[in-house]
Amino acid sequence: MKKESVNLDKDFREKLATREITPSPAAWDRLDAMLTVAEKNDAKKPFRINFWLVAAAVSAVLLGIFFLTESNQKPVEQMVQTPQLKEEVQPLPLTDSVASQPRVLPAQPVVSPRILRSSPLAHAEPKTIQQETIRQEEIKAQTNQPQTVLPKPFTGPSADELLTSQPEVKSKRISINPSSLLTEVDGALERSFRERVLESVDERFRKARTALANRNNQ
Amino acid sequence: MHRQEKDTIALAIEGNRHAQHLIYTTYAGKMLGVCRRYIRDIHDAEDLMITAFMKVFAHLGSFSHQGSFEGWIRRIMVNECISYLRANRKIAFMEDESYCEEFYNNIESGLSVDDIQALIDSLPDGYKMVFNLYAIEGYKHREIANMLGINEGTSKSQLSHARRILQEQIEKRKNYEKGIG
Repeated sequence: MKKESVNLDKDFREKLATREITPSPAAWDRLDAMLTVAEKNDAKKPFRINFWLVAAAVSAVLLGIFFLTESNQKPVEQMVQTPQLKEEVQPLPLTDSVASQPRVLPAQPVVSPRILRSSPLAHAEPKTIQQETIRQEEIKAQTNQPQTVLPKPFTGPSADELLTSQPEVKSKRISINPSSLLTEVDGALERSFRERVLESVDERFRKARTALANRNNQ
Repeated sequence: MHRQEKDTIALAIEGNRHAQHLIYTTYAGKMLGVCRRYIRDIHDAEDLMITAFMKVFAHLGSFSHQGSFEGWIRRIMVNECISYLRANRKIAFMEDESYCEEFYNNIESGLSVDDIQALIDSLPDGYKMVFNLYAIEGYKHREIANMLGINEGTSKSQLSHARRILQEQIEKRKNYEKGIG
């Protein structure tokens, strides 16, 4: 009995194993199309990875820019405070020529009582203004060119010349309000940063939208 | 394995469409025959063959070149058919381990392939699947049980029932032909 069933299996196997059915001509076209789609999907996978990598990198850069500008804004706030000192010293007879020429140090007498006497605030607090003036001049001299300037002899304008040129300087300085200038600069800095961030976010959003639209179209 | 076939496979792995078409034309006829044994509708069988060829090309790199390439493709086709039938709940196995070992008489040879296919098509899907896997593909009951998620005894009983039905059908056909004669 078992042998007979084996014969049946063998008979069936031999006949069916060699059996071939010709597929329809469209079968290969369909397979070809499916293979093409699969290849395109495979090609898109790296794009997806790159896309997320780029998105992460962009967000990291944006965060970096944000924190950097945050830290840069703090010194700006400090700069806003410093002009108050300048305002106090504003009436002093420091001309641009003096400020630009750090030779003031050796020529300390330039900021001498005669100058202080002529300034309106000098009568109110002569000692403090004098000290402030000297200190400021020293700072300016040190920050500008302290090493090269000191050895040179004083060749700048004399005290009389400075006194004569004082009214012009005053008239020039009256028109400048340092606090307003600094607030304007502060605002401009904030605006530019905001604009940059918004522009970059907008640009990345458009790119992502275009990429998604292209992918959906494909 | 022929060197030419190895070269073709290597090219197909790289995505060479000409090589893929060559593999398809070489085996499509046989593989559609395999799918047709499990699936009654020829269109469904062709769909399954195409899907299975997609898997063949997707996993071509995992072919180890140790066994027969045709056998490897055939296995993918059979698995695809089983997955399809199981997904569509077309196979239901009764846990029946009461079967008699062998019972039917010698069968007169001379049935055509179409007759054999018609006989197999007349079997319930569960019987047909086990009969195909055991008698035609040459799997063992343990392998069939693993593939279909059934007991080994159930596989044996399914085969036994399939053979009984086939014998009855063949006997009927013989009697009918004798009556006509």
